Amino acid sequence: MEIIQVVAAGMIGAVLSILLKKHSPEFSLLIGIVTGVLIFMMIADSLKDVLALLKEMADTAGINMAYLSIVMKVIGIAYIAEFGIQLCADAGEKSIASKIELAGKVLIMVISAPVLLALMNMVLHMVA
Amino acid sequence: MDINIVFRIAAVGILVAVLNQVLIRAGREEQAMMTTLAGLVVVLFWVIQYISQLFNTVQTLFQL
Repeated sequence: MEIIQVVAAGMIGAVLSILLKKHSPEFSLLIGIVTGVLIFMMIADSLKDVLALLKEMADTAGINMAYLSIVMKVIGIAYIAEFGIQLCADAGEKSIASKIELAGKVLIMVISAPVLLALMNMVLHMVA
Repeated sequence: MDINIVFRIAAVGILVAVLNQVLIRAGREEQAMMTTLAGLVVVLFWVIQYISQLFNTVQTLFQL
């Protein structure tokens, strides 16, 4: 069962991180980062299956593929931004974390611009 | 990847912390700082490779 491996890796990482926190906080942070990356890599294959399933469902439902790809890009940006934000917050740099959050929001707005424009056009079509 | 990288980083961290304490007690503070920096550089090297692997995977997964 994969969840057992994930939890075991998380526990080992947490214990080692606490062990080193007093003597060298830098290594403690690095261990935290690596444990997070490791857990993500463990479930990366399952995540690929889930995304393929979503694509298939959208296909069957007749949703335009372009919109689905925009949604997936937004999820990707959100995930990577969240990774960076938590990393900076762990290091105690909340200001850097909030700048990363702002950057993520701006980039998501830029990427989803076509969807917003299409929605506006549709609404104007219906009204006019 | 697997759990070994976590163990390797922890081992380097403990080693560096111990050497740091030993060198500080022996009065050689500059060498203590240099060993800490060296250990950090080595571990950062591994971590950056690992993180770049993560970002490539995320890019492929979400077609960014």
